[in-house]
Amino acid sequence: MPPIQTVAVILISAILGVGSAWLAVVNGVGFESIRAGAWTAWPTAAADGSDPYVRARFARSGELPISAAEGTTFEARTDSLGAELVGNCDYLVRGRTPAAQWWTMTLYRDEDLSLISNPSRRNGFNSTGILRKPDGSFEIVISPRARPGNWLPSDEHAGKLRLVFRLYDTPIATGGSVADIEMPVIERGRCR
Amino acid sequence: MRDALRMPFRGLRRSEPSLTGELRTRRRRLFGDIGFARLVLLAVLVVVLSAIVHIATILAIPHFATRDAWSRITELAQPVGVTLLPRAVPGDEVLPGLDPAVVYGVCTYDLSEAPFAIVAAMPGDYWSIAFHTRGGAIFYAVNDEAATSDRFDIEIRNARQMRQFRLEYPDPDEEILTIEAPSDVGFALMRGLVSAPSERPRVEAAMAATVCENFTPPPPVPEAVGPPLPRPSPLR
Repeated sequence: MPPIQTVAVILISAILGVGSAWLAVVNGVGFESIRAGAWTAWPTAAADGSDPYVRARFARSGELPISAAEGTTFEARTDSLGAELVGNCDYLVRGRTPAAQWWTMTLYRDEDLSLISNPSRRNGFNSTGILRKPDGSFEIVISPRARPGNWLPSDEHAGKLRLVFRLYDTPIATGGSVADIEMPVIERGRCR
Repeated sequence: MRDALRMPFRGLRRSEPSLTGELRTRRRRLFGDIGFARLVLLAVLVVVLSAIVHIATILAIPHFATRDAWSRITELAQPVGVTLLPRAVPGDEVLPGLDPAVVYGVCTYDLSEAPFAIVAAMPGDYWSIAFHTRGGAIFYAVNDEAATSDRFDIEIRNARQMRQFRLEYPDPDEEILTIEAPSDVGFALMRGLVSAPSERPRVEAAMAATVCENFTPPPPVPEAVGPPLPRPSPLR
């Protein structure tokens, strides 16, 4: 093969290969993910010999995985219509939660999973500290400005957000059906 | 004058065919003669090679990650006893994505010399313990619902120590959970849920009271089966 063709083929392949790997890891691609509405979980993240994409993702981020025996972590980076969660919009998270002994819902910056500082020192809600409606459902308002009810403060300058919904001691991860999990919906409100 | 000006162009034009011809052969030597079939072949080659690079990159990332959970945990954890991860507050998180409603405790273990024991009193609300290997996998995990009493008593052994244990103790104490580790080093991660801010000191105190240590197994108690046999006298 002529030298320039060889060089071009090698260069293009290297760029495409590494670039696609990077995108896959950053965007959380995985064969073994569970999707329910806006939420994604990686139930096998902690298993030996799990999906190499999931392993790469956790190795890069440095997060501690959780095993199915302990619970399941669901993440949302978009609202229920698929638009990215951003700091300058309000969101309403409402609905019911799947069966779990405990759950927590925490708001992070998407880029590095860091918490957002705010004067009320609230970064999330858990199953015991949340105000519920008489029918057992709940509503959480994510907004940079103070709101009545379950207000989860965000930051207009935080950029992209990630909402992490952790279910501790849940039958979902240990063989429950995925299709009929009832997950909260995320609706976008006003943006600034 | 005109002729003089035109002459060089005329001369150039005359030499043009041979010049482009030479360029074309040089180009052909460098780039090859890219026909349609050749282009398809190159495209297939690019696809195959990029797929190989893609897979190799994905598989290599865990081996070259310097900021993975294992590196961060072993950097933080005391070599002896339990280490509580500092509470996750904005701007001061030791690991990304920690749950601010959970108290985390870490015990690193090394089984090369002796087995390792973890004894913990559970603070009441959700509580779990997971054993992580160097590679990031969890080989054993249990939570408060699965525990039979309000405390955990776990002994962790490597394969060799496990064989020895089974030989020496055919009927082990059922109160103690005995698990086999796939490798000598790893860490145990404990999670304690803080259901309300006022509960935090209690959960932290319970976590800090966890006992994590290597231990020397006591020698097996000889089974008393009837009276001891008379030893043969060396004099006889």
